[in-house]
Amino acid sequence: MKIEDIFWDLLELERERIWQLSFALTGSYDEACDLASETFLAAYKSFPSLRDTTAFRKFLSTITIRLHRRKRWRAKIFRPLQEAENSSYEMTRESSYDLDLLLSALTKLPALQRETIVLFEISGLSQNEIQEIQGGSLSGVKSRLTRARENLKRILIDENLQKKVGQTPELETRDIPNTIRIQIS
Amino acid sequence: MNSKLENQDNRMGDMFHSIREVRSPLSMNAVKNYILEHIEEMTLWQKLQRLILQTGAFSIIIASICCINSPAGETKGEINIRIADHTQNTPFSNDFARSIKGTNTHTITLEKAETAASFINRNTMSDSVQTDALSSSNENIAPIQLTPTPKVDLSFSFINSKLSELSDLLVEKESETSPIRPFAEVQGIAYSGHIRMYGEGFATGVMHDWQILSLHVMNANGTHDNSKDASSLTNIGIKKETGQQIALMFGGIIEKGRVYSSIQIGPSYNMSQITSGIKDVPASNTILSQKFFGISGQISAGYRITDFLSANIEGLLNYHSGISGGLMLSVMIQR
Repeated sequence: MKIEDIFWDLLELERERIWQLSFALTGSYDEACDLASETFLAAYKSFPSLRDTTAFRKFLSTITIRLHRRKRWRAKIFRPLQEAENSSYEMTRESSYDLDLLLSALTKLPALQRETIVLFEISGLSQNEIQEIQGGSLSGVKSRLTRARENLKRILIDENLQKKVGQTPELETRDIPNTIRIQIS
Repeated sequence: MNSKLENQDNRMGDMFHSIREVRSPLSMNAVKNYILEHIEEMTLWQKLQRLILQTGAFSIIIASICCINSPAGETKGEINIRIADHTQNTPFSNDFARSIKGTNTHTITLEKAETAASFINRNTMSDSVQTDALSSSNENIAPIQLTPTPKVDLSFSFINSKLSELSDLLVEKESETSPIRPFAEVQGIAYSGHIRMYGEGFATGVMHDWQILSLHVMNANGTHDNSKDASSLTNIGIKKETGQQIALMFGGIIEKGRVYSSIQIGPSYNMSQITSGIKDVPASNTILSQKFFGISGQISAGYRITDFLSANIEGLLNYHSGISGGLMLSVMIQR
C-alpha cells in the first residue's frame, strides 16, 4: 500500500475529530474549517516522517494545536486596533444553545487550559499524550485539566445567570443527565 | 453554589458531547482536493489567488525591481517576485527567511527597460490574470480591481533623475563624499524612518509634502555590506495635503563602489481603489491613512500592527537580525 493511501485511510478516520477539535479551539465555524484544512495539509506534508501510524491522532492534534497557537499569536499581534479591545466570542451561528454556551465559555478559559480540556474531551487523547503535545509535566496536565473544569463550570454558571435575564427559559427545565461524562482524574 | 457546580459538571458532559456531534463540513473529497491543490505547482498568480482565497483578504502587490544599468550601457534586469505568505509563515522567525528562498520565488527576466510597474500593470491587466487569479467565485470576497493609474512617467531618464535628486539631497545633508554613501544612506534613513515613522531626513528631504512609510529594507545576503550588497526598499507615500497615497519603489544594487539603481516613483496602484476591495472597510483614504499612522506608535508599543504591513515588518526585522531575502515582492494583506 502506498504511503499516500495509508494517509488517506487514516485521515478518513480522524477527519471529523480534528474538525471538532478545531471548532472547540476556535469557537468559530469558519475558522475551524480553516484550521482543520491547514492541519490536513501540514499533516500530508509531514506524514512521511511519522514513524508510528497508531499515533496519527496525536500527530494531527499536535499540528492543530501548533497552528492554532500560531494563529492566536498572529491575531494578537496583527489584529486591527479597534478589534483588539473588543475580541470576545460572539454567538452568531445558529446552533444549539448548549453548544454555543460551551464554545463561548471555552473562549474565556486561559489558552492552555482550553487546549488541555478540548484535547482530552474532544480529541480523546490521554493525559500522557496531552503532556507530549503541550510539554511540561504530567502533573501539570492533570492540574490544568482540573482547573479548566472548575473554571468552565463557574463560567457556565455565570453565563447561565446572564442568559436567564434574557430569553432562555428552556435552560431551567432542561433535564440533567444521569451520567457524568467528564471524569476528574 | 455547590449544587450549581455539580449541575454544571453534569451539563458539561452533554455540552462536550454536543461538539462531538457536530459534523465537519469538510468532506473527504474536499480535503483531498484542498491538499492536492496546495501541493501541486502553481503559477504566481494562482498562488496569489490562493492567498487571497485562503485569507479572505485583499492582497496588494508592490514589487521591487532591480534594473542594472551595466557599464556598457545595456539595460537589463530581473524582477524577483516572492510571495510572503502570511498564512504559512511565522513572522520574526527563521521560518520566514527560509520560506522566501523556497518555492515561492519567481524570477522573471525583464525585457529591455521594462520596469516593475509596467510589468505588473501588464500582467494584472491581462485577461488571464483577470479571469484566472484575481476573479473569485467566492461571493464573500469582494471583486478585486487592481487598476493602475496610467500617466506616470516611469522612463529610466525620469527614474535616474529622481535618483540623482535623491542622492544630491542626501549627500548635501550628510556631507559625505563616498560614492556609495547616498544609496546606503537611503537604506539607513528609510529604516530609521520606519521605526520613528517619519524620519526627517527622508520624508522631508526627498519629497517634502509626502509622508513616507518605509515598508521593507532587504539585503541580499544578510551581511549588510553596503559596498556590494543588493538591496531594495518599498515605501508608501501619503501626501499630507490630499491624503493621496502612492507606492514608491526603490531598488538598486551597489556593486564594487558603483551604484546601479532604479527608483520608481508612481502610483502603481491607486490606494483608494485598494481600499474599495476590502470587505467592511469603506473606500476611504482616510481610513487607510489612519491605519498607517496608527502603526508607528504600535510598533514601539509592542508590535501591534495591522496585517496590512506584516510582511514588510517581517522583512525589516529579518534584515535587522541578519536574515534576508534580497529583492522582494510585497504582498500586503488587509483583513
